[in-house]
Amino acid sequence: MRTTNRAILRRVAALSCAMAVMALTFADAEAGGDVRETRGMMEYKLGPYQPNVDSEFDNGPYEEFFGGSSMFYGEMAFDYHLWQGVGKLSLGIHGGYGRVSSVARDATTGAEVDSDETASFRIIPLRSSLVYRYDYSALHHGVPLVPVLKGGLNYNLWRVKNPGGDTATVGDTRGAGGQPGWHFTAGIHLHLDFIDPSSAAAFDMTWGIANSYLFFEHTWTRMLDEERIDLSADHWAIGLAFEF
Amino acid sequence: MNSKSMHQVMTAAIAAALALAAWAPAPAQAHSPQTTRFVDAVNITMEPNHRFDNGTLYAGIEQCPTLVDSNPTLNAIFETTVLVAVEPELYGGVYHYNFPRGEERQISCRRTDGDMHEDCAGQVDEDDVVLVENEVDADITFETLTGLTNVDVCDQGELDESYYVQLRIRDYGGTGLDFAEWGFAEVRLVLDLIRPERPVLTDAIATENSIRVEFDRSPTTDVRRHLVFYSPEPFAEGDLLDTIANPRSPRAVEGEESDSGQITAELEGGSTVYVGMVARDEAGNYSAASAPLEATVVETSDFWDYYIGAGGGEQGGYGCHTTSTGSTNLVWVIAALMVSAAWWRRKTYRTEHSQAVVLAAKDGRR
Repeated sequence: MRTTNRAILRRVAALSCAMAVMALTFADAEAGGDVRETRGMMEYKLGPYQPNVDSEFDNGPYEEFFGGSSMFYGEMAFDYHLWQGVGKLSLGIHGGYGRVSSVARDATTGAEVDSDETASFRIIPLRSSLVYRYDYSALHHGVPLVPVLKGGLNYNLWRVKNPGGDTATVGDTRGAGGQPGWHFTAGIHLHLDFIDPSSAAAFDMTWGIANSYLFFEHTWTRMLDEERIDLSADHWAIGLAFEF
Repeated sequence: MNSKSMHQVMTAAIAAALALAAWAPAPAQAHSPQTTRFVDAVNITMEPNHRFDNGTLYAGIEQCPTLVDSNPTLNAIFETTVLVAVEPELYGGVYHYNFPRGEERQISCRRTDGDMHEDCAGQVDEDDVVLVENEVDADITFETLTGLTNVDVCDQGELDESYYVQLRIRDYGGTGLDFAEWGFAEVRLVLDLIRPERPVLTDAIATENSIRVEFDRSPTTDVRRHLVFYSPEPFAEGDLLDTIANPRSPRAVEGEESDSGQITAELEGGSTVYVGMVARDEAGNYSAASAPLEATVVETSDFWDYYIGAGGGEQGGYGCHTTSTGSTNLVWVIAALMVSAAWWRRKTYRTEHSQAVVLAAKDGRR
């Protein structure tokens, strides 16, 4: 069932409050002497992405053409730390790419054509986010889990390609565009350094990577213009993050 | 027969089998140009330029009349480790000979007794051999190499011959008496005037963007490509490409090792095309056309057709028009927060930086 914007906002507010309480709890705590100052993070993640295109239809064209397959989605993010205290507040920019394809269909019968030709639909979300990660306990008390919240704006480029590899057209309409939206992400990062501290130290010495994380996160993406193609999605991803 | 006798018989049988195997002729192998460790690289050029591959120059039916008419000079270059310009006694030749393609023998034009091999056609004139430090350059005319003077041979479809230019060379350390010390390096001109046999097209499916085919490959051994072409007008099996009306450019089938494949094409949905295939050999000769198959071009649809067809409101484009005021407000709040955060960080950094500069200046004064 589709989660409404109002419900999502309630969740965002609740999670934000929880994080704020955590931050206040440790507000007076002193930073550990052996934790070095860091500047930002790089993240690489992969996961499925199924845009909610069919929300405006009874019988959706996405389901009909792609058989309900999700896009294979990858994203790279760079976060710059604005504030470091009890956790870190960062400004992040993200670039993603998702694609789904299907064998071309006979326009008359709708049957799949016996051919190697495929038609595809792809998206390139460009995001900017405010990121809060509560890593105080991980860095000072050895608790290896780091909750992370992200929220911000995105501009979603999209394109439909026909079997010939060109942008699809029907009459005056063209299957390519871009539209703004917003997103909220909640994730949990597993601090990997505790597994092998000596390797982690060597990684820092050699590459300047202070902390490494394996993470899982869930993102709610929504579009602003309800009259346009709906690229909204609730999607998860797993990835690696490196703090430098 | 007791067991001892049986054992002797078996041993004898095995020995006989091994002896037969030793005397049996070597398995058939194509006669590629010979190489020796004394020669690093070879090259062969002839105007007009033709396909050069692994020491071999290929010429086919299309090039034949020009070659016979113009009688160009073939230039063979051997780059060697031996300083032949200083010690020319370290090389011999340059020789030339020819065999029909498929002939497996390799010969050394200079025999151990000092005579020329009976299958060798001749030796390049000494005036046409130039020694440049570690390089032997030999020039020989097309006519001298092939003996062809009449262009009629180009249309007869009978000649398929390999012409070799052979250099004999030996190392500094050798005595010159031991034949085994000599090495032979060759370049080759392949003149192939026989068309490959045509493939058989068994199925063809045409869409607006591609043609997919299934076929039986040409049985000719030196075929390197199978190509698909199409024409809006019918043609007959056995027609040559240049006699077919409006053949759209033949394109090599993807998936060359299999008996099916696909080419890209730009076709009009619902139209009729006649699809054919040809084979192309190493020398670039095309076979005659396969029997054509008539195909109606299938009109394909994509996701955009489905979306618009279902009544989707999107028209495409990159505008930022919004209608949802609730979300818009949230977006502005988030945007303001992000800009504020960036501004605050910038200001903080400047303050810290200024303080650091002041402190550094004070330290300097002390």
